[in-house]
Amino acid sequence: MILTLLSHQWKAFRRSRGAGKTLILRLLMGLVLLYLLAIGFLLGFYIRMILLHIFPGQDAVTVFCRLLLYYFPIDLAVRFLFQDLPVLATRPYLLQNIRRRQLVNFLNIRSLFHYLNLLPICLFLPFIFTDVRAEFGLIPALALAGTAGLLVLTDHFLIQYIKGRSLFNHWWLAAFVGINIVLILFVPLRPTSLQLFFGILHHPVYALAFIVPSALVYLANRRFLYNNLYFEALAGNDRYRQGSEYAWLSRWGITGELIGLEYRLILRNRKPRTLLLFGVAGLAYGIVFNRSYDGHPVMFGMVFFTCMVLNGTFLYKYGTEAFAWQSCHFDGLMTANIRSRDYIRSKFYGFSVIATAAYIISLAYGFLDQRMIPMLTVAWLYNLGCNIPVMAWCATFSYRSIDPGKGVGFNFQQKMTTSNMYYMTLMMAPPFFAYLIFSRLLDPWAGVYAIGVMGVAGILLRSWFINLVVKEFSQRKHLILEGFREK
Amino acid sequence: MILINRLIKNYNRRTVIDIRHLEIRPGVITGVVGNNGAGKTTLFRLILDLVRADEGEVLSNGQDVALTESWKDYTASYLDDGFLLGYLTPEEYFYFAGRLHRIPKKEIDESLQGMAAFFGGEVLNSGKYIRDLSKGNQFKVGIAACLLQRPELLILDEPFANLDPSSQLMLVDMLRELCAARRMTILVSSHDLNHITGLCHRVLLMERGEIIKDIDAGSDTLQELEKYFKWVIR
Repeated sequence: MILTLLSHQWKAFRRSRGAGKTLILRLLMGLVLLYLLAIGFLLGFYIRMILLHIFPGQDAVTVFCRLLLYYFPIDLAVRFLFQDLPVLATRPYLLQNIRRRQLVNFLNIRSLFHYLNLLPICLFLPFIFTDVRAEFGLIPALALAGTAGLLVLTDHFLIQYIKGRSLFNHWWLAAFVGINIVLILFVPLRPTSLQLFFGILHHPVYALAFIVPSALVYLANRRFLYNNLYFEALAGNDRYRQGSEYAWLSRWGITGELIGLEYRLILRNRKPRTLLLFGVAGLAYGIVFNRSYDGHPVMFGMVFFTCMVLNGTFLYKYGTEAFAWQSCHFDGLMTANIRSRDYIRSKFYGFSVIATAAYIISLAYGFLDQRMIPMLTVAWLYNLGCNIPVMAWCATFSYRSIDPGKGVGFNFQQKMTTSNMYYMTLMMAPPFFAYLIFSRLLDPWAGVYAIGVMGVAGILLRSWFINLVVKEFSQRKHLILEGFREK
Repeated sequence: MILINRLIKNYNRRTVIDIRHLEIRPGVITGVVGNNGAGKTTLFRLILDLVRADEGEVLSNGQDVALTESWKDYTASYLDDGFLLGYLTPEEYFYFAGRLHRIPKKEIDESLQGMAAFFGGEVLNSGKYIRDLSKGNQFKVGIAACLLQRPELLILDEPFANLDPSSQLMLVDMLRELCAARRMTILVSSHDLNHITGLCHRVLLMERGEIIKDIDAGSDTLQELEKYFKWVIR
């Protein structure tokens, strides 16, 4: 059964509009993925040298065990931003002779194929099976690897559970982010970590205890999915819907009209609204990364790029699918009395308002450290000037529809994660290289300001960018329309 | 109003539209009939530049619809619920459509008053988003939004299919009135031969992408069409 479902998914993917047309794009994405995994592996093999470099004169295995526990709450934070819910258009299957249990199992198993689950394998296994094994023997090494694996699984299913829950109740999201941040920042994990993993190395049987949390989260997640496969039936709402107008947007004419439309789309549909909340919650994560960047330009760069992501958590995900969110009524938009240029312009300016709002909120980090303010400003300028055009351009390649409201399929995540990574590369690579060059040649601040200059240049060139995107959009308009009509 | 020259559209090596020449004159109600797969909706989509033609062109007031956007000024259309903004209330949607044509809110309200009977008390002030309305009411919203834009060209795809009988009859009357009063050009497809022959001045019969009959509607049109549809299944 699971094989049949997998083959259906593969067919849906292969036969979708635009598959194959973007072979080069896919190849590039694959390369990016391979590159990241290769880095993971390299790190894994050199972990001993890295640890000894940072903590000279100490035992590598001890240091490893002392830090290992940190991986998991940080992994949770990363997963919070990058791990998506599993996808299956369940509707066609619900009426077939398939047990709901099978659908749920499929969703769970399918979701395990994720690069965030591959990464710890690359990172930890080489070290565990060389150094740890040499020091403690095979069985303890296996126990340690098993414990790490179980903790990764716990993270994996926990994030799914939390994300699923927060689709219905946003307090889950807030509570999770709060606890996660406290765990990373304020709980002294080092002694616990050392005791825990040394304990396992000395008594490998203890590793079995970690089956309990992972099994619990798995079961909770399974039950949640099981109970919510019929979510569509519940989606109806009897509340009286009051219309609203955004008067402040009307001064921008049709562009303002379209921006107002888009904001209502975000606020009145479950999926974009949740995405927006993830973005707001993501703003809180800045606090985790906002530490100790005095020492090294690399740390400094990390903080800076955190600022960029802070500013764009919501936008990066929403913006690269700028048109697909409207796929349900794209026919209507394209025949309404709206010129393509006004439509694209509304995307540029609508996203600018969102980025600016995120910027203003993120300025609160200035209270923690004043040096964050210029960094956040530069990140905001770069997002405005360069990343918004990149996102709009990326969106013209997105031919798959998104149902923003109902449906358990969670299909806003139907995109392969790799395509997200490709877009992220497009958005992050130019500032990354600019930073690399200028921080080497001069100093880290020069790198930051160089990115600021790029951003301002982008803002000045905005109407040229808009024309460019309009041209690209017009070329592919019919492909997009055709793709969106396939629900 | 509309001029089609050598229009060809293929899907998967199958020709779905092949129209040598078709002219639609202003102020005429033209009906398009044909069995499923005849190409009615594709023809409408080609006229609305929602599908790119493989060959040929569609001229709207002399302008190629694929190259210009000026046709959007005077064209209103409703093909399916893909034209509705489901997360708006009906009122918000009507005002939005009105503003795109610079029609003041007051005039929209007046037009809506005039259509109150058509809505049957379930659309206006319903306190629902369009996506929560029934299929039939969604159709009414889509059609009403077209009418209040006061277009010169109106394109409706199977408007009778989802409407209750009273609304169907009302729609026929409204379209007739609009055509007479404002010389509106109307293009409508349907499987309901009674409505089509009762409403239209001209009927186009389509089969496998081609227009095989072009009939000036008269008293014997219904029989002629019925004869064809009975014959074609043999």
